[in-house]
Amino acid sequence: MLKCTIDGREVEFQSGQNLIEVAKKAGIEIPYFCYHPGLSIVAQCRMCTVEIEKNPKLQTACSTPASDGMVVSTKSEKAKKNQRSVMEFLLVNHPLDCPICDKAGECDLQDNSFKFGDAYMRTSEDRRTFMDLDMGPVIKKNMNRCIHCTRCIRFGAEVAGIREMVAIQRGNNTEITTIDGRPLETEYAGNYSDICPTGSLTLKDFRFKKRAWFLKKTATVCEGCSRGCNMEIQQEGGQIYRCIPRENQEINQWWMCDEGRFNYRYTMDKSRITEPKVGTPGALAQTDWGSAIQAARKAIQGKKTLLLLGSDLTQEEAILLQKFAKQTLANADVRHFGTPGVKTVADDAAADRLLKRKSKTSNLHGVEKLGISAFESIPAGTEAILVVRGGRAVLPSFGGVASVVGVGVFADSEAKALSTVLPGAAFTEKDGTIVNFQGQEQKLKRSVLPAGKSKALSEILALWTHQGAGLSSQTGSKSSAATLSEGAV
Amino acid sequence: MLVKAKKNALQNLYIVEIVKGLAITMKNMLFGKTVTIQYPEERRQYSERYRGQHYIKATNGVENCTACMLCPTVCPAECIHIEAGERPDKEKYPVKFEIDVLRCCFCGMCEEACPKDAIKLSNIYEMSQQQREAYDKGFLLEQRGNK
Amino acid sequence: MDSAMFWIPAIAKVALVAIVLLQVVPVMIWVERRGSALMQNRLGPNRVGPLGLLQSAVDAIKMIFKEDFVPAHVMPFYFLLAPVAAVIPAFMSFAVIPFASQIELNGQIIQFQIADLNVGLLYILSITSIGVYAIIMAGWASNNKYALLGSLRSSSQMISYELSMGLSLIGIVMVFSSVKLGDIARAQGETLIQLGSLSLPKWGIFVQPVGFLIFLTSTYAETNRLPFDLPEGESEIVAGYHLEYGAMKFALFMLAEYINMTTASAMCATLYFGGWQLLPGMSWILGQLPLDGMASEWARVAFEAASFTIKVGFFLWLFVWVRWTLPRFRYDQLMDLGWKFMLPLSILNIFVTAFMIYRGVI
Repeated sequence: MLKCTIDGREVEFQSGQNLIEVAKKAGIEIPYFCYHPGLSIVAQCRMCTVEIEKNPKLQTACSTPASDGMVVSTKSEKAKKNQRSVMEFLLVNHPLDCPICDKAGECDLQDNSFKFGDAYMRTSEDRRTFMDLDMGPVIKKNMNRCIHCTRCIRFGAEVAGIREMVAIQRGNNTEITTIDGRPLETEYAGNYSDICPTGSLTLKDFRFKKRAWFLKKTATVCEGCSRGCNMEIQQEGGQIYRCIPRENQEINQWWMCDEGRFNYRYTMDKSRITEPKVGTPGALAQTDWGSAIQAARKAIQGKKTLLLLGSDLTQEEAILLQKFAKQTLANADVRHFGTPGVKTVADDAAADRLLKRKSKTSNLHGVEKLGISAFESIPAGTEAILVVRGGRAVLPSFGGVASVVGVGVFADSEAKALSTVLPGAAFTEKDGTIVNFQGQEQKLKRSVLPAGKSKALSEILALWTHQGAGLSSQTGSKSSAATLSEGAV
Repeated sequence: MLVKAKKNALQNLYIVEIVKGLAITMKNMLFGKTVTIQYPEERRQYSERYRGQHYIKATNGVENCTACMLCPTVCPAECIHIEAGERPDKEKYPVKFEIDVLRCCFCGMCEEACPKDAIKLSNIYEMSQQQREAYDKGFLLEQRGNK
Repeated sequence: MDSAMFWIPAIAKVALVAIVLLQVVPVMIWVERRGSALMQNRLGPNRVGPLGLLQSAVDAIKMIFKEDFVPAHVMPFYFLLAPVAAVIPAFMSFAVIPFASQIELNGQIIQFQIADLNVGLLYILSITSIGVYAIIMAGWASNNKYALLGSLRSSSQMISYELSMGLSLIGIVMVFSSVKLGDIARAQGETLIQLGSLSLPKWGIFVQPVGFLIFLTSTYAETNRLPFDLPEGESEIVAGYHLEYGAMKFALFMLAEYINMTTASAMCATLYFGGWQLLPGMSWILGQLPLDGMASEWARVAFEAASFTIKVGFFLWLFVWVRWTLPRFRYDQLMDLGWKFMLPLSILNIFVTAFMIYRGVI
């Protein structure tokens, strides 16, 4: 086993690992700006320099692979002095407008300046200033704050596969910009904001909305496609402010597409139906849960029913629906639907080089595993349709069937073909399991409470089954909660 | 709990003690110096560092505040509500700056946290208002008590 | 008897007493507020009128114009009856107090006393003890725990102290051999001890010092004034029996309390300080006035009334003075004092008085 010593501590490592990673494993912090484990190493910021024994000069830890018997000191006088100098150098042109900057509170530059920098400044010269061009709908650029780490340039070229960010000019005048000042084209632009160690590239969507330290974080999974990128929902007071990716080497590494990043918006949208509605297609009227459930039951009961479940539901919900169909809807046909053109697992494939998948629903692979077959067309003689979905599955045409009961998240425009809407919980409002295209089971975590009068599917089905009926009539049927708890796949 | 104090027979009669007490009150009535401050006409002299009504300091007519949210962060009573916005002459400014004065405990931590020297506590301690809307940003910007 | 000669003075006397008593209340409230303020180094009400004298007047106006609110949970009949029942005995008991001696008008002797009952002392004792019914009624009808507790405290306190009060008065009755207040007042004009040119009048205080102290203490308890204001005990039972009362109904309780105070002060003055008997020096001044005939008679009556008023005023002031000096008793202390100390002492006082009378000392 290879061993080296960092700050007097013996650390084992694998061949080829650089000193930052080795030190991180040992719990020793080496500050850095330009290094990112997912990007190539350029050793530009000079922040991570450490003193290595028998080496006359300081070495950058990011570009130095650990070797057996190496003795490294990250806190020696020389190293510390260098860290202080680098911090001072980086801050010469930094505007220090932390009160304005959205990055404040989660900013590498701020943290490292606090930990390793000097509290006083020796320069009195004017700082360079830039006029910033628009960078498209996702990213807001503020070049004044930039420390030229080039993470964004490398991300574009190496990960997103598009060389759109470049550094122009030299030295003090270096400016990071897009080629010819064009707006960003990549569909992964949100990551620029994540990897930027300063507030130079920030999300327009999040601009001045909330300070980072107010946000409450919930680790969950994206439901944007069948990849199931790991992400974190950040909310405060029931209002989701943003989603950022979590590292998962097997699924999404450090990245996330913009579609998934901003997917949460529909759950907060004004057009989302959060009250039970009853009526005829196109003319729905708000009502209370009791009468909505009764209307839904009346619309379905005793009719030849097709149960359509969206492949954006969790495994638990799908199992619950299967049982519900067996017990309550006699001989109902259970089918799943999701993305147009992606009917079964066989149709699902990568949509681009990086993360995106063709199936725009999260759990297509899971529902297939449960033995539910895909929806092709409405069988002849269908009198009623019960359609259950999470919020992303695209509704098919119901071909003139009048009694269509919708359960789940619907926007006003989507509810046109429905005769009853029972509002359900969106992916941010429920716990559950989804299976991604690799067969990995991942947990959705609830981060906010269901909007308005929305209820979880288990609750809706429990109301459906038990409301109005005497307890004696449900002999042998387990409570929905019990069904849900045994629903692990 | 019943506490029995040891008293002699004369004290037990209380009469001498009562007369002594009456003498004290009479002495105070006749010769005592009144300490009342006749409020609307006379006013108590408060310290220069007294923490009263808040105000937002302005420089050249532009509020110093950049809506950095440090004061609501540090506020132990959670009584400061700020909404940030953007306008041409200022990258970030408070669109809404409200202090729930009823909640405020006048600890002055907002003043201490402020990096822009924007929120200050003045000497004003008369804070009753006739309108509910009185304590919005406009009011705070009026520079009441700006020293 | 000419009925006009009977009715006109009678109505005039009733009117005089009633009006003066009503005026005593606002003045006393002002005295109490200003006096307590000065004792506590404050200023007290000083905004309305000179020295704040009109404060009580505006308070009264406020009380009258306030909403006459009756809470939903009370028994309305008794609730409304209680303040009335408090005020009426308070006024009635003053009827037998002589505030001057007498005057001969057209051959008819007019007593300056509404009714010179031959059971005057007993009348006062019985009428004042009716006042407790009002408090019980208020506490019970209010349907409120605190009010009920207050009224219970009040009743037990009044019963306890009425005993020693009555017994302390026995001494006076024994000395002056009468329960007629007019007789008692007149008898106090006699000389007790003659020391050269100085003479000590036979005032009750000089023949019954212990009885006076017991009586004084008991009146404080009877009128629910500090240090015996347990029925109101703000810190324990909010406001006691008048907790649910507001506006003029509350004002009536207040009125009753102050009129009771006045009656008690008048009793003290009449029984122990010679009533309308002139204060030392007053008779000399009266002799110096160049008056004769009816004028001198009226002057004598005026001086007697003034002397009586000064005495009553002193005791009223003593009420206020004591209130702002002494803290409230604890309930067990109150009961201890009443039953274990004052009652035996007043009985002892009777025996000592009897012995002294037997030996001819007084």
